Amino acid sequence: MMWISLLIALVLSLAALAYVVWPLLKPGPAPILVEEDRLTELLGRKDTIMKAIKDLEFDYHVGKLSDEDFQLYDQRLRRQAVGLLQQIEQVAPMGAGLDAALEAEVTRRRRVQEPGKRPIQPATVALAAAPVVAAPAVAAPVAVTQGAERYTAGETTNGGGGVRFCTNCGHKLDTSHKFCANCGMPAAA
Amino acid sequence: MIFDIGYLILISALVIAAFGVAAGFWGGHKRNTKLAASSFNAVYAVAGLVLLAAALLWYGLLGDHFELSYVWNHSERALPTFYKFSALWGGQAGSLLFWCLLLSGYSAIVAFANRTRLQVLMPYVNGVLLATSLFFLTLLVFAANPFERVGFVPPDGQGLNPLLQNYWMVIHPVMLYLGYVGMVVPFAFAVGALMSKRLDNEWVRTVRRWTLIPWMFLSIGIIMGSQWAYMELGWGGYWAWDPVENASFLPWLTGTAFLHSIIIQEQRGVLKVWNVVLIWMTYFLVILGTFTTRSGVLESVHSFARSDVGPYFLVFLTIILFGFLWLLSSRFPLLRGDQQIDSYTSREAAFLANNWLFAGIAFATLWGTFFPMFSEILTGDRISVAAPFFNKVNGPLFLLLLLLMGVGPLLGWRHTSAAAFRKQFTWPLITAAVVAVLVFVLARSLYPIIGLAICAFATATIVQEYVRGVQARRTTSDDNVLSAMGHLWSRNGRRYGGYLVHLGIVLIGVAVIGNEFYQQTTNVTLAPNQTVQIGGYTLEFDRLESDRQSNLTEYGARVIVYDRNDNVVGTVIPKRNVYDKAPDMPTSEVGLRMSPIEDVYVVLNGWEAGGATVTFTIYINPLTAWMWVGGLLLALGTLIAAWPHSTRRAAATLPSAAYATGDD
Repeated sequence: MMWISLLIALVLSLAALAYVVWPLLKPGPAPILVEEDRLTELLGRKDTIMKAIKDLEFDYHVGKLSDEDFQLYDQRLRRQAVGLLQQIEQVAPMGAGLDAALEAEVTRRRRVQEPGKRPIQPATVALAAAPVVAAPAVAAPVAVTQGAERYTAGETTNGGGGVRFCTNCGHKLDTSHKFCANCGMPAAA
Repeated sequence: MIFDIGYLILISALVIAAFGVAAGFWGGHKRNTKLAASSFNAVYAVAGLVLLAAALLWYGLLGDHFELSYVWNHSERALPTFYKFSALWGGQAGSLLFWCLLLSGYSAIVAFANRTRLQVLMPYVNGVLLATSLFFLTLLVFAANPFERVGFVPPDGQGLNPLLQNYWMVIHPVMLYLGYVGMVVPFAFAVGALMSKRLDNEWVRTVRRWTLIPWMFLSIGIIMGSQWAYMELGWGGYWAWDPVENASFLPWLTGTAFLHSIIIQEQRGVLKVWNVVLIWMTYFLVILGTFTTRSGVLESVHSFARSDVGPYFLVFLTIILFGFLWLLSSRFPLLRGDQQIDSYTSREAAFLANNWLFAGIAFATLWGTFFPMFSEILTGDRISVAAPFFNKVNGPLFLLLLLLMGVGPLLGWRHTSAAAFRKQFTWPLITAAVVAVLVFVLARSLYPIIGLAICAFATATIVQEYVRGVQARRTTSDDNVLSAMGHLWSRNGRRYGGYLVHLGIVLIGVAVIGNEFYQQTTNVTLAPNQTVQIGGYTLEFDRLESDRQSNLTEYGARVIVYDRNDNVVGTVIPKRNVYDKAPDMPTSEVGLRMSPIEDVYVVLNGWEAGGATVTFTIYINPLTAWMWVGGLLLALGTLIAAWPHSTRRAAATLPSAAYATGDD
């Protein structure tokens, strides 16, 4: 009886152990996890800034911020976002999508920096939509990047099918977008 | 013998956990994907083996295998099946196995959910989770073997502790354990972030949900524990600040502070050091709490020397303390804040103050809990601090926290101007003033006036936030009020679920204030048909009755409750249960008539001559029901806050509405 229990326990233990060491027994050298730390960090920071901009706008809408404070912090956040986009472009320069996003950012930055003028809301949408456009750029060069994986999720909607452009400003449209990310114009069916 | 398999399985799990720790840390350091994959498999294998061991112990309990020491000591043939099942966590070895079971379950879920994400962090996360499992497996294998034999086969067991034979005590420890054990997960992510030097917001975002869920379980566990104390212990209250209660409350305090402060890190990139320290403190307090409630260290400083598990805990706590300090100091330069806090009239400043208050309450509670031990070490005399100390120190701090709970949401990030200040604060302040006047008219007592006015202020803040959120949503859509509210929950559950949690806490605060300042009590001995008056009620003792259950005899005193107009409002039956295996440990079950205004709470103390006279303690507890309603709201709010929702899809379809409701 004792031997049978020992045998069962041994079989179970060996099965568990084999399962654990199995990945180590696969032939060939172990692949090293290549992750663009700098890129992931930049993407994370950009994501945070995007959320901060949304929160700021929400606070402004419900009356928690004065006009002056809103303009001050909104511009500050936008400058940070543009700076981050530029850094992302430097780290992962390949891909036309990012160029397009950056152009949109530069355009808006010019608008934002015009003295005494409030930023225009549709421009915010362009900023918010930027990671979706920027995705192909970061997905290509990095093979095993969780940060990039997160961003490539939106990218698949970009590929395949006919490419659409906004009838108002000519901005390239994502297939799932019902509004232009640049000017806010409803997308033509 | 089948139970030998259980012990051998625990040994295998221990070996595999040790291997998994090494594979996780080394694989993470070398970024070696084979070792990383092996650490994942180790997590799953340990979970499977521990589940098997727990199943074997359950088999022993349900099958009355009294040859096992644990079953003999914590069960009996006549014990209802329900309690045989829960006896797994009724004793030392079983509850350690249960701890390990929940931890390995959590670990497996975390590993599976992140199997393709956070690839740099995850091997370390697996390593930390397995290291904690390894510690508990070490206890099970070397110090508290649940499969230990008696050496003969006793005819019957000694029975489960009568206090644990209660349905609250079946579910309450499970909730508490789920909360306690779950707090290991955010700590594992924090260590993973520190070790991998990946200290951006990625781990903070991931960890938020993994903190909310255990926090919810811990909160429910604490509230259920209070409810058990209130309904079963029969001393008229729900919280006594005893060491075991404090052991669960301490990680709740630091965990709550952490949940708030990670929001500032996410928003502003500040408090990075403080956040990792907070989650480490939470983890440390979880292990410390498990240690103190098991080793008897708080009953006497000498008892842990006699305890088998005490030294193991001390070694582990030392490793956690110094290991973390080393890690923190080596990563300190990487934890610089990205920005500064701009203004004192900003939400982040309110969050910071909230953190100080939580830290202050945690420190006072820790000090009060361990004071008897310190005093015995230093002076030789054991001096205990009781509930009045905790109430005096923590009461005002909690009141300030409630105030901040009202103030914080009204402030904007970064800075709130005077005009915005006026716009935000007007209605909550008017509400608070009206309630203060009302309470002053009804009952002129300073502290409840301040307390209830602050509760009203916080409630008005929450209502105002909802109203403005719904209005903002309705300006950009055709939604009616209800669907606009649903939208707020589904798209910004974090903020609006959080407000529900706040409302739950406010209700708990109202119940505490009601009980603390307006409770009435009396002791009385009555013969059948005699009455007593208290707080506008008349209570008439009808008769004493008894009922035989499988392993106990239940004695109940039927008491009829009349209101001011002599209308019967209900019948309550306070009980005493006398257990066959522990006749000198009768348990109490209070007779309770609950209402939103006040509870009539009757305790059966004893009787003479078969019920010719019966002694009762009667309490009138105002507003207590709101504590349980508050608990439910808290759980609901946390679920809304933690509920995953797709932001990308919605952002793509209707971007213009996204910022109008502050979607995240």
